[in-house]
Amino acid sequence: MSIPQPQHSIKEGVHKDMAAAIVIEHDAELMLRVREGDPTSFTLLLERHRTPVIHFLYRMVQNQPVAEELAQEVFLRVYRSRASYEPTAKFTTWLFRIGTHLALNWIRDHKKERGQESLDQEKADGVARQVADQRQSIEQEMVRQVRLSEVRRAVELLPAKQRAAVLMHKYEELEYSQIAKVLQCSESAVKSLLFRAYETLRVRLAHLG
Amino acid sequence: MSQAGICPIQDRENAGILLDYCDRKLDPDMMALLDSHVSQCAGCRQALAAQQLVWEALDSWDPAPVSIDFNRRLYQRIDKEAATAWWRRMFQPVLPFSMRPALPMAAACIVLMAVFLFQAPSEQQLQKKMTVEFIDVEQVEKTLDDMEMLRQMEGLLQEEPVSRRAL
Ligand SMILES: [Zn+2]
Repeated sequence: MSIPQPQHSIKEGVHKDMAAAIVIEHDAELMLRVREGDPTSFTLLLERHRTPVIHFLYRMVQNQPVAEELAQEVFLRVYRSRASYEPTAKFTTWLFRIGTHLALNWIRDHKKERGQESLDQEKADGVARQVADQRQSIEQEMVRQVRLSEVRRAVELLPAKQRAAVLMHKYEELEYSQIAKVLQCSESAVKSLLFRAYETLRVRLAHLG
Repeated sequence: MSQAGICPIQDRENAGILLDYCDRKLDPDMMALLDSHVSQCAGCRQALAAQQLVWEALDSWDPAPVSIDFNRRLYQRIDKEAATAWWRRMFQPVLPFSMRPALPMAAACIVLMAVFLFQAPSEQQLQKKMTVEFIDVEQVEKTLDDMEMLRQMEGLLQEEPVSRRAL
């Protein structure tokens, strides 16, 4: 193993905006250090962005092993292209652009297989949660499972680009301009994608209220 | 404006406004304006309630935890790539970019040729092999001749004392 593990995580500032600015600068700075051959900086970037990237990919493809495999590819590509890295865009935008590209390709290539796989994964997740949430009554857990599978299904049925836009907007809290760069479209196109996606979700999930 | 679904704020062109309002992301002036509008517009209130429901539903979807060996697997792949990179570095700087896709094919051809050359005997090897076989036959014949000669000599030696005795 040539890349050392970090001893501690980087603390973020108290003020949210200032912290965000520091983090953004820091990401680019770390990546520039990776470009200069510093493996510790790569580990720090990996520690910071690994979980959001995997969670985003998991919600895109709805399969944990596939999501982790795609995330491995994302970070491998980041490492491979370190020599040519230029801090022209936010690091997270770049990261999510690679991730979205890989996820959209995977969805396109596995469209026909998705139905059964998704159901199997849902069952696997359900078993894991049943073990974890033993305190909850079986009835409560069943209701929760039904709701969860409906949410997952509603998201899965969205066109892939709308799905990506919603996941980046809702869970990763990316700005419209960032989502636009990731999806390579205009900001107004992103707003339009989100409008249609949320409109569909409002209809599909209305009965959960 | 007071009926559900016909408010211009809910048009596609204004798609971000309600989302940002719901998320409290608008600037204070815009927030105040929207507060005032929403208090009078049933359509917007309904849309906001539905959007809130969507976000609560999405919040209930927790992803599974990341595998503990994720980093280890990644570093293994990076190390593996680094180990094979020397081979690529040998060829890539000297070859034009357009020829790089042909590298795997060229490598396969080199391996095939090497296998062929190692398996097919060269002319020199053939000559050597024939010489070895020839020597072997000669050696056997020579050995047989020697044995016959020894046998004859043995016979002579055995006969000699008798003849000596006779003498
Ligand atoms: Zn309204």
